[in-house]
Amino acid sequence: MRRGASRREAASLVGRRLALLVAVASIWAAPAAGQDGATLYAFDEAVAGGETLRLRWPTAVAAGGADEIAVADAEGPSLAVFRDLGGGEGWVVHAAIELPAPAYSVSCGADFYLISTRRPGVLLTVAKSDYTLRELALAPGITPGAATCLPDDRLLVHDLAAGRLVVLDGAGKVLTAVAIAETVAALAPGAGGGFYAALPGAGEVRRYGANGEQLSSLKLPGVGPTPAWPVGLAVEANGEVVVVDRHGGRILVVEASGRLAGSGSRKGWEPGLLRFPASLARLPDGRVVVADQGNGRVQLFRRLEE
Amino acid sequence: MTTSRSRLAVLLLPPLAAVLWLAPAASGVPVDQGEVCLECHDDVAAELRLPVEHPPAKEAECSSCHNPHAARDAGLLLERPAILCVECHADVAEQLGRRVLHQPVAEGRCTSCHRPHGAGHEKLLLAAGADLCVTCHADVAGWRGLANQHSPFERGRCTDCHEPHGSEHERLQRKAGGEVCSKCHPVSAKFRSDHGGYPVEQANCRQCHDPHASKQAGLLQPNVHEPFAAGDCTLCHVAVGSPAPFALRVTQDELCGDCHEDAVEENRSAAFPHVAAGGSRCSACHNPHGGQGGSLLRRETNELCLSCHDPGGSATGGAGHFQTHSELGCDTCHAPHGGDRPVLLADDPIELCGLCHSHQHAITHPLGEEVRDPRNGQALDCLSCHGIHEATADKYLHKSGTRDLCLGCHKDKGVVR
Repeated sequence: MRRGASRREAASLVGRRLALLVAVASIWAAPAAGQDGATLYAFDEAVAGGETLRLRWPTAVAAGGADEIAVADAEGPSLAVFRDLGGGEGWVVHAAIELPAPAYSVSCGADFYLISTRRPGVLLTVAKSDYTLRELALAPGITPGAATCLPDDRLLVHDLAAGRLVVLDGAGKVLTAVAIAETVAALAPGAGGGFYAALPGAGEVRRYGANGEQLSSLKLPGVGPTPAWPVGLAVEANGEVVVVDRHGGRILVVEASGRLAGSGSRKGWEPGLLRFPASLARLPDGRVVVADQGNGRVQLFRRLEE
Repeated sequence: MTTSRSRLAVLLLPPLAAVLWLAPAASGVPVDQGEVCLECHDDVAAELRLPVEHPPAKEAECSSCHNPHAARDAGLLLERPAILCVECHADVAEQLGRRVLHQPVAEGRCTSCHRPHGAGHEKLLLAAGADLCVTCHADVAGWRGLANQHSPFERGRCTDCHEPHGSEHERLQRKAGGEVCSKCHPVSAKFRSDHGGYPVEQANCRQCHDPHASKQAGLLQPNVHEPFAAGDCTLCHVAVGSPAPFALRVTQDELCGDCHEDAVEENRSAAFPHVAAGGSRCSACHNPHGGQGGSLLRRETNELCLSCHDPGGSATGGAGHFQTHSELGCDTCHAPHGGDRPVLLADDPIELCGLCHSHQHAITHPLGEEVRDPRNGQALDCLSCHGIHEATADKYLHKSGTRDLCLGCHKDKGVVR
């Protein structure tokens, strides 16, 4: 019985309860916190095509230069190349290339677009000069998933069959192989020959060194109880990683340290909003282009100052 | 006289004020709480006659937990149970930081399992052992009828294997994977020979065994993969004596495709493949030895899908972010291996929804290729208005159907207020 409890005891009790309240509340509140940070990307424009070609279900996007983007569409399937004509005309369809199968990933090399259709032993290339489609043979046994171009004509490929990331030279010879158990949705080159992988099932982006050693893992915050589902990424010169979250309909910016710097967009139908985005690429002017699959378009977002 | 009374009042006022100030509000009246409170609270008196008593209740320290005058929380509690109980039960407070929490613990519902004053069972539990667990875990009741029972389960000793509050391991296991089993099932020559010589102690026993009960002898999973049932381990695995004896002979894609070509091809050729199933990941969803569900799935379909797509919800036993539509299975609308449409939809949403909602086809808002959604230029379909998994309004609508939803497209019909 605490009939004679002193004021000091009472104060101590109140203090303990407050501390517990804060501790327990923080445990309960942590998973629900929507901490997307500052708004770092603003809607710039939407590109959906015109009468000759209208995007239906874009699966992947790559930036071919300051005024060119290539969009793989599951409808067709095709690769649509858009060019920004400027002067109020905006982005128009410049070329459309029929693909033998829907593209799982598209990235851009010095003079070609690299396309993975998950066909065993083969990647596709589309020359940027005349848009000729060619096959690029891979070492036997490799089933390519996500793929991207690295400096020095090297390629980085997620080998679905063996559950590994492989770095190939220009002739398709395996230079480095790293085992990876998770599914990889997108790859991007990093600084110093390293690279990044987006792992939707784990809700994270993993950073690797030039020799395939894992350097860090950037865990992305979800939206409420829904985990982040990174499916596309690009890396800024300062090491910031720009990621698109399929389930959350968001662009997330993560610093090299792992801190979430900010975000852009949210889930929805209207221009500027994203519905099941599938891929992201960075244009040389700092804008990012997102394959907004659920809305049948690609959208460009410009970076805002913090 | 008046002056001396005034002087006395002036002299007495400060100590009197100090006494009033220092007296704690709740304990200012020296009463026998046990006697006073129980005058009205017969239910508590009855609980106190039960064999296991909560010490503060036994000592009649009612105000340890209750405010006798008023409180924000039900039962005149000083705090919500989640906060109040861990003030004394520091061991439970420590467990709150663990990776996997029991749902009532995560929600601060201590009294879902414990009686706060007195109980007939140890640890103030509402019921003993499995009798308590079965009140939520209805599947436990189903296991009781099966022919082969695991001894701890049969004796209702759930906590032999599971932590009741929180654990670092899946399913609230006391230890990871097979470690929890090896306490009673140590590796011996017989153990090795029963497992074909494979070092299964390094694996997860649940791969093949149901730790509660099974219709299969040896507590094997209820649905067993044929090669496994035949003991033909080397059909899939390399020889037992090799350095990595659990390694597969060839990739899963190739191995599974030998017999299940259709399923593998569904993924291989899909415009929208299930990424988890993409290339050699069959075992992400299927257990190649045996499973609880059909198709050797690792878990019941919805639970399996949510384990990746909504772990925050399923980990605590709830559906979390994703609503289930009329208790349907995920595979009612989604093609699990991959499909021709985004988000693995098995068909055009209008056709898919029409399978059940044929009536709405006749009376609905215009839909289809000819009707364009002004927000994105895409063909209007059921999902333009209905959210199914994350809708916030009635009838699975994205917004209130009386105004907000319509004005999203029909902006010219908006009324300026």
